[in-house]
Amino acid sequence: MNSPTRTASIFRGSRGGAALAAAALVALATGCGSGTDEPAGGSTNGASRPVNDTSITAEPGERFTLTVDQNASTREYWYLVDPEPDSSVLVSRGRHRAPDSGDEPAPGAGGRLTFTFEAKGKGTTRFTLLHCTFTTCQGNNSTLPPATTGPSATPTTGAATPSQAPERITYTVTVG
Amino acid sequence: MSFFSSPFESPSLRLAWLAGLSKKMLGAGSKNELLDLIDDALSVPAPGGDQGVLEGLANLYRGQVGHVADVFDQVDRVGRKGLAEVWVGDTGVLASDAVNAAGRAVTQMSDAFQGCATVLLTLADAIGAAQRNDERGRGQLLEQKRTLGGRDGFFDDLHENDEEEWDRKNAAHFGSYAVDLMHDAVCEAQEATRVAARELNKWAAEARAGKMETSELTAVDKLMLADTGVAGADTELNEILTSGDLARASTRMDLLSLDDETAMERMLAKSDTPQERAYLMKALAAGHSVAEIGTFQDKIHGKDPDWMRRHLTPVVTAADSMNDEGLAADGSNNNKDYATFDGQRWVQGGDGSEGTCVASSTVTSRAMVDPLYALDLTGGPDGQQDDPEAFKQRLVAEQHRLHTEGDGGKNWGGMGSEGQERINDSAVGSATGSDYERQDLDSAADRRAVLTEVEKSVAQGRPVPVDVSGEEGAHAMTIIAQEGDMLQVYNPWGSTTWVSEDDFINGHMGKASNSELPNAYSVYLPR
Repeated sequence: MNSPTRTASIFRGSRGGAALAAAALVALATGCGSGTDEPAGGSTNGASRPVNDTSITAEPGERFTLTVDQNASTREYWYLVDPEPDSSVLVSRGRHRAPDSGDEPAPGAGGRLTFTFEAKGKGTTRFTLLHCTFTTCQGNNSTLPPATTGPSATPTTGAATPSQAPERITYTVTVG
Repeated sequence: MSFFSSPFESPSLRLAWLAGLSKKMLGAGSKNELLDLIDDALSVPAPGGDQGVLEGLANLYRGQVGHVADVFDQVDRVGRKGLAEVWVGDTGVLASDAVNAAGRAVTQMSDAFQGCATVLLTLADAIGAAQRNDERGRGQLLEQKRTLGGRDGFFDDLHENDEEEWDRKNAAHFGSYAVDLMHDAVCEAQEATRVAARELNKWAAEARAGKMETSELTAVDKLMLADTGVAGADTELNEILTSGDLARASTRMDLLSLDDETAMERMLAKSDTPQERAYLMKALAAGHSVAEIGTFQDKIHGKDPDWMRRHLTPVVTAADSMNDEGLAADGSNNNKDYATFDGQRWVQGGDGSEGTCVASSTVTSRAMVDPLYALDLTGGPDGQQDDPEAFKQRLVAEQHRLHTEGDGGKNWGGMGSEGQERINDSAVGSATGSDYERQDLDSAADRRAVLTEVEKSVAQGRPVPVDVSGEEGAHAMTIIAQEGDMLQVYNPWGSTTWVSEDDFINGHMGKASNSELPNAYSVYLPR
């Protein structure tokens, strides 16, 4: 499944690498929710990368994943947004959800959302994930990104705290 | 739910039985089988209810309107004369205020009698129509039975020629249609009954001053307490004392020792405004001791009604809040209002970022029924603060406390149903004298069936937690009020909005949150 060098690169240079590797194993082992392009779990999804590592290298044909927290109760959502990566270098293979709480829904409990990518041919490209939270986005849901990515119109706190723009993380992927 | 001595007494079972019979008829293989099915259908009792009795009751109610109009004229005459500034009652009610309250109460009484008469007439009509449909169905079944003739003997039953087959299939077709008529009749009667119960329960809850039976207060005192709304808002939608509050406060007044009772009356008489008086009684209704209420009065005495409203009443309902202003792109109602204290919302995590929806909605529910609890959060230890940041910290700390008490998930994420029931009992049920019981809702029929109890509870001022879900997860909100076929929902995102019974029954609860959470799968009923 993973070559030793690939596994080592997960541990090296990332905080809480062991926890992330464990999370990667969980993401691979847990059954996932419906409505996605790819089958649940399994080695076809590839290794999980740390979300805060924005430089990613991969071999042609290799798959990798990014797993983030999503929660309908706190309106925390992630989106893969434009501009799309160069499809000769990298393609998206969809996203799937796994709830934290198992069979019975627990109000307020979130889940894990996994984005899967597949490296195609040699080259370098970028993709961007948009991270929405309660305070940074308005009027969005799991499939509908917010209309504007500027500060939200109605702040939840007093005027003292300005609203922030939602977090955008751009990843540079080098395939070769 | 009630206990039925025969399966046919339950409308839901009758519906299922008739629907099954209708299908079986179309698939019946022989004349004898069809005749048996027809007899089965005929054995189902007709929808109950006596149209004449209901109409008689309606007339009785309508007949009271004339008497009420006389009372109104008398009150109006007194009001127009102008009154000296005298204090009446045991609690120091200004006489002119009392007369105005009496005028409003009389108008409400007239509305109630008219309203109930209309409800009963509507029900009478619907029952009559249902019974007629049922009779038509029965008549057609008897007709088909006659056409088919007697049962086949053993040998005839073994063989059916073409003509006999045609007769049977024809009879089955008409028979099935007839059973459908009977089925529809039960449906119509059931729905008409549900709506009538909802309306009558609501009118009963609106008969507010009468909920206070204690002899420790005069009628004038009771009238004023029942009539007082928060400052600066529509009175009828924002009465400080719910009908449950009035009843509980009355009961507690009767149980107070003589010293306590005297102290209570002195506090009420000392109050500067009707709102102050109403909040003191609300504190009594929530179970606080007279000593605690004394301390509470020291904090709120002399404050203007606006100060009291924002410190003591988290949710204020605007008169236009029920207008349908369409849906936003995310599936939520455009017409939503925010529950705030000095700009800080009553929101989970203080900024929406924590998954403490269960704990947070419970905190807000408690704050709605207990003004001391609300003041501790908004005004701080001395009750005098007007600082949104300090409120936010106290609010979140209390949400965390309940989240932990309910064995909520780590990182302030999620709570199971056992914990949700338990903290609603300890935080809210303790103040309203209720025991919360979870009721799972697995179908539209379940949701329709639970509405009567939900609506009765919120009309009496006992909030009903509701859990909603979709593909992305689950969330907790609270049903807090009802008007006609609309339900008001508080969302711990800090907002309130109105949804319809249809939205609740048919999976459109996203209007109170967003399209991720359309399905109400559980409620917690205060019993």
